[in-house]
Amino acid sequence: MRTRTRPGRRPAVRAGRIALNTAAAAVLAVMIFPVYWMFATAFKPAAEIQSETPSLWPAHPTLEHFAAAVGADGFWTFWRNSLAVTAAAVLLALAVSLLSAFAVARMRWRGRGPFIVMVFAAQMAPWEALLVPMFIIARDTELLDSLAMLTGVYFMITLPFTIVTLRGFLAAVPAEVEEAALVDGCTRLAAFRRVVFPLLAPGLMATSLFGFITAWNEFAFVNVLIIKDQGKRTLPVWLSSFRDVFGTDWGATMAAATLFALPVLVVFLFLQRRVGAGMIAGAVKG
Amino acid sequence: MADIRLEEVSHSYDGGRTWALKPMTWTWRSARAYALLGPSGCGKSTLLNIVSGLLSPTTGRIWLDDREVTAVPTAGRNIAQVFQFPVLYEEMSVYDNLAFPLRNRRYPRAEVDRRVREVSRMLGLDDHLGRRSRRLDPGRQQIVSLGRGLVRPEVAAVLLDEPLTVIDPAMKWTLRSKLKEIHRDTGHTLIYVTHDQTEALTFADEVVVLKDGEIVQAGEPAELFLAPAHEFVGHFIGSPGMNVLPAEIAGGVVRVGGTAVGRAAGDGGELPPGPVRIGVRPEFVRITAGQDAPDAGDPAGPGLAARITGLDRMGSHHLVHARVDGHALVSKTGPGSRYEPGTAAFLRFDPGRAFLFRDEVRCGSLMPLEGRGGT
Ligand SMILES: Nc1ncnc2c1ncn2[C@@H]1O[C@H](COP(=O)(O)OP(=O)(O)OP(=O)(O)O)[C@@H](O)[C@H]1O
Ligand SMILES: [Mg+2]
Repeated sequence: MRTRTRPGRRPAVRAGRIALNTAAAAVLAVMIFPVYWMFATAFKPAAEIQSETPSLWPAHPTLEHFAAAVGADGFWTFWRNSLAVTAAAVLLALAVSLLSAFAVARMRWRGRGPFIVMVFAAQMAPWEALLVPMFIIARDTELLDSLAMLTGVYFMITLPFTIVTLRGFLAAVPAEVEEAALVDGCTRLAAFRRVVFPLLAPGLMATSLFGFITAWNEFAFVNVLIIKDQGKRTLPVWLSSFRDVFGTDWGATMAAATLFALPVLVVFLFLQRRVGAGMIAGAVKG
Repeated sequence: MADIRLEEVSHSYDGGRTWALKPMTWTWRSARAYALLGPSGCGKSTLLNIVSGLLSPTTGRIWLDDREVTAVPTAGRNIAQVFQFPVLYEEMSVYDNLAFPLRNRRYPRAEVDRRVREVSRMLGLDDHLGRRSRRLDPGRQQIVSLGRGLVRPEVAAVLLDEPLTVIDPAMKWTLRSKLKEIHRDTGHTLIYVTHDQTEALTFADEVVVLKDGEIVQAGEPAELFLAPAHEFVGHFIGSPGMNVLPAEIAGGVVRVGGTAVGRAAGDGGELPPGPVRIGVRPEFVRITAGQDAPDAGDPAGPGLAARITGLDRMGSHHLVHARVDGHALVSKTGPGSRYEPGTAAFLRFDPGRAFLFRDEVRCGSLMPLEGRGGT
């Protein structure tokens, strides 16, 4: 119907689309390039890294930097620390926020309004402002150099966002779905588990990804809370100290950074399809 | 199957400031088909949710026969409910959606399969059983929701909250007669919420009219039409709705602007004098054209002098608009009748079909004067 009546329209539409795509590609390139450079450098032999004319990709790819990074003192310990702290914080936040989101979105109780305001306020507050209080708390409770303290802090950081987001997702699930499940013979808990929970999957993915990235990348708190016990450090801190360990071995540094970025990338690719849909749904309905 | 008895049941969503449902005592009798009719916001859904247990009433008690279920949660009440908009378990196939209520109640597998196939055949879902339910169009989704409400063989009642809203008109008729058929075959108690009077009148054994959280009348369709107990029922049922004409009772005679139109017969004894409103359906208003009162010897009196103000040709009938004593009135006449707008006429009401209302509630009826003289 479009072709006959308005012959001039198609080229215009196509031109617009090309412009948009070009812009998107440009933005993508700018964003991706540093990451790509990190990857590329990690695979380049030292001579290539130092050469006068930088090459866009490794001419003679090598894994020696990875060997150096992995072989470095305590690499696996830090990796394990990071993973444990991150996973524990995310799971804890998911469990608690799922219950809170349910209470906030579905139940009526005294103080619900103030509670929501408090959660939002907590989300607004800059985390850095909490560095010193957290340090003092940790010091006074003898929780310095403790992974449990770190887990608690990451839990605290991710919780407000997780509650707010999940509340949005939950509010988007019509109450009738739950009511129908009750009518169809479920208990309240079973209705939630069997009918509502599957609908929340994208929301859970999106929030856990956010939590994972936040906790995995976090630097300031570890730096302040883990001071003496080197064995309790996590990857970001280790990475920042890498220069001292290796001098300025850029290849090894980039290899370590790649290994550090890898889990986030893997998790993201794994969850990507559902998260994309989830972010959109959350943004519109939340 | 059981009678569902509500005892002084009421509900307030805001802790008693306003009442979505005012205290009501009412019994849904076993195996009957009810239509629950009323305007938007009158409390229909609230009432259904209280029956099914999704809401606990603010006051009152609910009984299934001799068993009090006020505190029993939904799952324990054995009541099926279908909502206005499709509610599906999106992650499940159509088959699993239909099987869900049975599986939750641990029906044996063979029985589940038999019931699901039976319902799917009845509702024409056979070709879709294997599909993911979210891939269906909204009409089909609603039919699946309906199927879930009908799949359980033994329920105390099936509650349908405007179940056909999202379904296109042609399909609506089919489904409605299917529902009637199912009701006949299964003998389930059905409560069917609607605000469409045609739907209510054609579907139900008994129509319950709800307004502002109160039942204003309940009865067979013909009863609501012929003898409305409340002005609202007169307006809401019938098209166009009942005419209302302010009048005065004095000495047992009802007068409109000085003209006696009949005798006041109170529903519960003599009516005290004072203002009343006459309610009469357009079907029961007779018009005689002309300047002069027709048949002056008629014992019922000469009728009300009126002026014809307009005429709508509706095909099967005419609607004649007239003014009496400054008030508008409509009469339904045969398609061949001739009335000229602007001319004078006399109106009469069919005996026994005009009623008297005070505070919107029927208090009596208008009886012929029986030759007691009319001026
Ligand atoms: N969850 C709720 N919270 C507060 N008020 C409510 C709630 N649900 C309904 N109400 C109010 O209670 C009254 C009755 O509502 P209800 O939904 O029972 O009406 P209804 O007859 O089903 O209307 P409709 O035909 O629009 O579905 C309305 O005034 C409505 O605003
Ligand atoms: Mg409703």
